[in-house]
Amino acid sequence: MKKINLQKVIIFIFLIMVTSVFLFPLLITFFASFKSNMEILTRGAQVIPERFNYENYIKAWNIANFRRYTLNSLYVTALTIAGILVVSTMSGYAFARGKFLGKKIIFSLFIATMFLSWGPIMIYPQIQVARFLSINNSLSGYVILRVFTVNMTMIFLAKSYIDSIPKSIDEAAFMDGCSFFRIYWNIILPLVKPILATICLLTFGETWNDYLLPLVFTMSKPELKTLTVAVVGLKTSGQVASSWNLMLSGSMMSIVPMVILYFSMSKYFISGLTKGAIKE
Amino acid sequence: MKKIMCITLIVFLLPVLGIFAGGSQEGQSDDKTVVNVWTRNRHDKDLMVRQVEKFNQNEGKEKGIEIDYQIYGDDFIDIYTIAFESGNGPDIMNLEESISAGVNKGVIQPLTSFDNEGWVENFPFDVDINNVTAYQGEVYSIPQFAFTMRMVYNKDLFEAVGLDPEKPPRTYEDIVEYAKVITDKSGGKKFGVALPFKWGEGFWTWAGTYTVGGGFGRREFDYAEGKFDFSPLKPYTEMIVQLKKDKSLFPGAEGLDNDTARAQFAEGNVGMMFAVSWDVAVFNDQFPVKIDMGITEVPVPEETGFKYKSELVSQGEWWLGSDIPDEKKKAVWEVYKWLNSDGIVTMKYEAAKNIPVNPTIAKNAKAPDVMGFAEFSDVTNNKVYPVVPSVRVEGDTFDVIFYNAVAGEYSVDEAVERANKAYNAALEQAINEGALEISDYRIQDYKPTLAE
Amino acid sequence: MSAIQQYKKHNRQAFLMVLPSFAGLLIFSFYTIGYVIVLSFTKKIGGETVFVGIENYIRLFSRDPNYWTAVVNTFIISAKLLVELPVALILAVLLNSKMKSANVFRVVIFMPYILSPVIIALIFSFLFASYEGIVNNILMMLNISESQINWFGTRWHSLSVIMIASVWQCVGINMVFFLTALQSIPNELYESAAIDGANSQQQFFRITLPILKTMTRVITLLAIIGTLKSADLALVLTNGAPGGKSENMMTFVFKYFFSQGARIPQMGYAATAGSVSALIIGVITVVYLVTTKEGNEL
Repeated sequence: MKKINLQKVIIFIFLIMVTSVFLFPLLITFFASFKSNMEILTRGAQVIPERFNYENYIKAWNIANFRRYTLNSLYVTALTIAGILVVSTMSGYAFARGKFLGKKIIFSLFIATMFLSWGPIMIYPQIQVARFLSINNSLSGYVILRVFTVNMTMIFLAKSYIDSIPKSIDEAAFMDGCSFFRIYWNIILPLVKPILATICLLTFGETWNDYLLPLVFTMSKPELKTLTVAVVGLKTSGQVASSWNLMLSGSMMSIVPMVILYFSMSKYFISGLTKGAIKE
Repeated sequence: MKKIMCITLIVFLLPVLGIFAGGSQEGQSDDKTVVNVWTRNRHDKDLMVRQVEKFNQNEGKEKGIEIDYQIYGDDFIDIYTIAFESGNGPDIMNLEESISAGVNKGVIQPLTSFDNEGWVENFPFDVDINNVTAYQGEVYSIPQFAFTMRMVYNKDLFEAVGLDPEKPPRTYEDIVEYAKVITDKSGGKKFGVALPFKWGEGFWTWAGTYTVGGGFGRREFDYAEGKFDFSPLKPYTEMIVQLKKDKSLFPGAEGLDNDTARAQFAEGNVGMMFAVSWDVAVFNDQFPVKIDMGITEVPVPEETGFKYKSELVSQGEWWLGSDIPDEKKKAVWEVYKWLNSDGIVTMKYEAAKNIPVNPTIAKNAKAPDVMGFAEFSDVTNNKVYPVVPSVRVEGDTFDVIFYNAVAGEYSVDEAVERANKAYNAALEQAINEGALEISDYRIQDYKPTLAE
Repeated sequence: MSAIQQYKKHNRQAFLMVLPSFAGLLIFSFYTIGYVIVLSFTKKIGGETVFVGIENYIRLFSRDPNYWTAVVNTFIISAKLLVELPVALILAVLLNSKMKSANVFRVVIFMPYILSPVIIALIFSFLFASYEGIVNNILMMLNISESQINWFGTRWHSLSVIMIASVWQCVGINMVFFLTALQSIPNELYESAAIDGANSQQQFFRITLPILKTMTRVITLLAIIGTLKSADLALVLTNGAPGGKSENMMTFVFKYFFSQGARIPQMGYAATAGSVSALIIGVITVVYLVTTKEGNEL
């Protein structure tokens, strides 16, 4: 018994060390958000601020109109997540289990889009397409763009995970009279909860922090801005030099929803016992 | 099958629901025309926001116009470029690039396309500056303000190390000497000069090529020859190399951006630094200087002395966006006139936000009493230089080339050679392709104005 | 229904399920990629966009050493995965438990991923500053270094800072990926192995690793592609300092596409650089897939 405890203790210490290294810059960020702008730039080395400027947070909240923009961000993110969850897992399942004409070709095309990213240049043609479809002026246009662009990462994750689910489950359901789609909807989906959680988290991260595209889509209607666009805007709310203090406090506040989401999702990461279903 | 239909329907319906949600936030302005004004001016933000509100409450209400004043940051060019691409360009804005670039991009339109009742012609000074505010015969913008460059120094620190605070550096050699004294005597806590290299091109222009005029009468373009010649930058770069050797530069210069440099100067850790007239606002409001700040002319090389009037950088201020729908034109023009009105310009001057180009403004207004403004706005020894062509260079731009010389990759002479070669090649190509007329830029009998 | 009808119905449904993404591919991706490729053969002269054939490509391959420095830098930076992925895996294994404390650890390690790169750059510029930088102070206190290191002064130092910041940012998400993958291993396997007398190391190497192989390949592929495509962090952290030496492929494209200061954007050339970069990433992806035999899984 003693041997096992020692191992656990060592592991625990290791984890504490690693986590501290990770925590360190975060703590610096947190404390820095209370500093005055000048202090941030000149006394970066001192972790604890001279004075706790709580008004950084109040100013950031007001200037960046946090309430409205947070709602915008939540709305956009929720829709995007819902859309991507459905579309990606559907595609992942179809590739993993389905047989249809051109499957290999389409899959290769999808994979190609994964690494064929030209980065910022793609913005212009994307705007043009959005304009052509008349959706370039609202956040829903952004949602459409995101949901219907091939999110190969998610599809790939979904497909690989589904690949590892024994086909016998499918066959059992098929015997019971389920159609292809129903197998997906009723059987597979509940089994891939960890992937759903992962896709949820990934999409949340990508969408919540997305700056350029939401900026473009909300240019003509600033009241529809997302939170990240507003927070970055905080940087330029200063007079000539940037207002780092406001941007830091704004960023701290905008992380909160993500952390909440993560905490609530974490039980899906440890589902563990799902494979027992086959014995039933 | 039914389930698939259901799902597909929902997936396609989501955006429709979204359109409703997004749409419900529309429908603000009823019978008011909203004029979008985009600016990158942050230093006069408080003043302008107040004025815009006043306008909207009074004149705006009468005429049915509402100004939507938006302030942007460093990536302003990209933002308005993307905006115009996506059909969302502003009605009035500042142009952050050369006029030829703006016209070629298709983001601005000439003032003459509006029925301006001779308003442009009646300005009390010359607004028709070729290739700055006018392009191919059309006036696109009215110049309002000018920027001057100076050197600021820490009087307290000078005194502390035994230098005379009333004797600021006048030559590059002075800078090197003083910097060494300051650094040596401050035990690693304070340094002679802060050079924010991370500012990149900004540094090598605002603190570089724009400042060498006092000694050479020109920047990197030889007007008489009609060719690029970066030799005025040579003594300046050699000074930097020496400062680096002496270790009197603020540490981490490569990663030092202008904000941090200015903050450190305000804190008192820096002896000398280059500054532009917009820094008056920075050193008064944003990073209030904790020290006694001295201001002097930007030093020149010993060998040339203060021969000529140094540069006064002036650009057009407000420009008309290219995408203004006909119904809006009248309203936009009203706002444009308002932005350029003497009232607004005078207010900005009196608040020490800008140095006006219009001589009548300064005459009729109250000189502002803000620390440092007088020195920056004294333009007796400053003059607007003729325009320099902007070309598309292959490979490194001159800021990178000269930076590499500082880093020791090659000599300063070689940097000058390389820069000349690259820029003149680009110039030739532009001329051959017909993108540029050399006659617009070449002034065969150019004589720089002597200093007073 | 007959077997054939069932089969057809399956195929139909499968195709319909792929349809939304496929339609998106045709509309968004094809047009977008086509546009950029066409753009790479053009140049703007005076306000007109002119077709110039492969002139941009010739310039890229023969006259632009900066681009190839950037490519090399991209590969150097991706070496960080050699540290990042194993650490992420180990953390995932260690934290694969329902204990509350495990959850706290997981959150802390994941948090950097949700910070905006601009903030990360600011923080790391304090950490690695030359004037009273935190890292320098620690190094000097521990007597590892004698004088202030100028972290942004040389190419290698700059690249190191980028790599460290990138690892800090991305370990969390890779850990989450691995955690997800671990969920596909039934607990009974571990239990029966324990009953048979296997200790945790043996369980790890004999059960966990082999079963994770598929997912690990996917995760590694995604990580490689993600790193090769990244630009944000490097851009705000060093912006190419010193003197453009720490550029990577995508920041290079960014530089030519967007103007910074009064620089004239050269969109055609940026598209060219982007296309070549995409090609490089594509080749690497294919090589990776072939050597790990993932392609057969189709």
